[in-house]
Amino acid sequence: MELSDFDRNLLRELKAVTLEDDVFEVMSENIGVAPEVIINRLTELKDNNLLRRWGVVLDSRTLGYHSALLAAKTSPEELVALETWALRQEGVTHCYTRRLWDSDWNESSEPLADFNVWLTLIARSKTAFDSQLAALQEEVGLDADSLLVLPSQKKFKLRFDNVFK
Amino acid sequence: MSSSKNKMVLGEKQAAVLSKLHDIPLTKAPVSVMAKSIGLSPAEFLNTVSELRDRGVIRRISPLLSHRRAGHSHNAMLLFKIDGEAADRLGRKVSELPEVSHVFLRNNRFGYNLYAMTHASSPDHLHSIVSRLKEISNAPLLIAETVSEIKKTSLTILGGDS
Repeated sequence: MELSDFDRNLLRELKAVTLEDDVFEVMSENIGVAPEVIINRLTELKDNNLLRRWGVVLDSRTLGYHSALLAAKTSPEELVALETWALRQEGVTHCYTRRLWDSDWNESSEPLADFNVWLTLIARSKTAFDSQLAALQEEVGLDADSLLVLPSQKKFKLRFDNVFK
Repeated sequence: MSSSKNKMVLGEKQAAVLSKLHDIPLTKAPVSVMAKSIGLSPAEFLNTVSELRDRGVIRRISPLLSHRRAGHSHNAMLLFKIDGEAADRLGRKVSELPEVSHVFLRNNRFGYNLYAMTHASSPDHLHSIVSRLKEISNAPLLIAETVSEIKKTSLTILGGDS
């Protein structure tokens, strides 16, 4: 299943409207389709996992949360342990295995290229963050050289879901 | 890290509203449905939403797509070996590309300090994005191609042990 032009239009409208009880009626007037059709199609997109959710994007910094990008260098056994840990932690929002190439698409020999797992960790405080990090190292068996902690010093751009712009 | 916003400790009502807002039901009168489930009136619910928005806790309310399912199947994190003012300039330049969603400075001992997430629809598309970036900068570049997605969720209000 793929997004149609109608779907993109629908998602653009949903993004633009104000959250009120009559939100689907307002959308209906804007795009000329019955509210039920809108609700059904959005539900379908969600059931098919194209739409993850309609909801709030939180500002973690205003909440006082502490976060960083982490990179890990793992053996296949450590990767399994890391996956298990990551799936259990609600503070892990993204976790990917990655392959690193140089800019000519050759396998990179840079030391950084050995880091095969990249994840984000977010916690309620710096203290909670540090204790989760310690738990990760202990549980997966990663030494200090195999785990890179990369907090951000500066944000240039942060934009989600450019698909329907 | 610079921030002009004050940190905010959430009250019980605010936390309840935010947890409802994480995944808004696709139904008629969604505000009434959410409000009722936590014992608030719709007006009280919406007032709390406004308050949280004004305080900067809510960045926005929006449909969130699955990039991988919505046609962006070839994603990569790009790492530039660059620092200082040059990193600043490149960070701003890279941000101008529509296929780039996140750009952050994350200083580290390897010197690959600038991180950009890019989303492409095909291998060729990803290659062309990389070519454009090489025209913009001759800083050493690593392409961290996504191999598999282990987890992708979004931030919710974190519980006591998080």
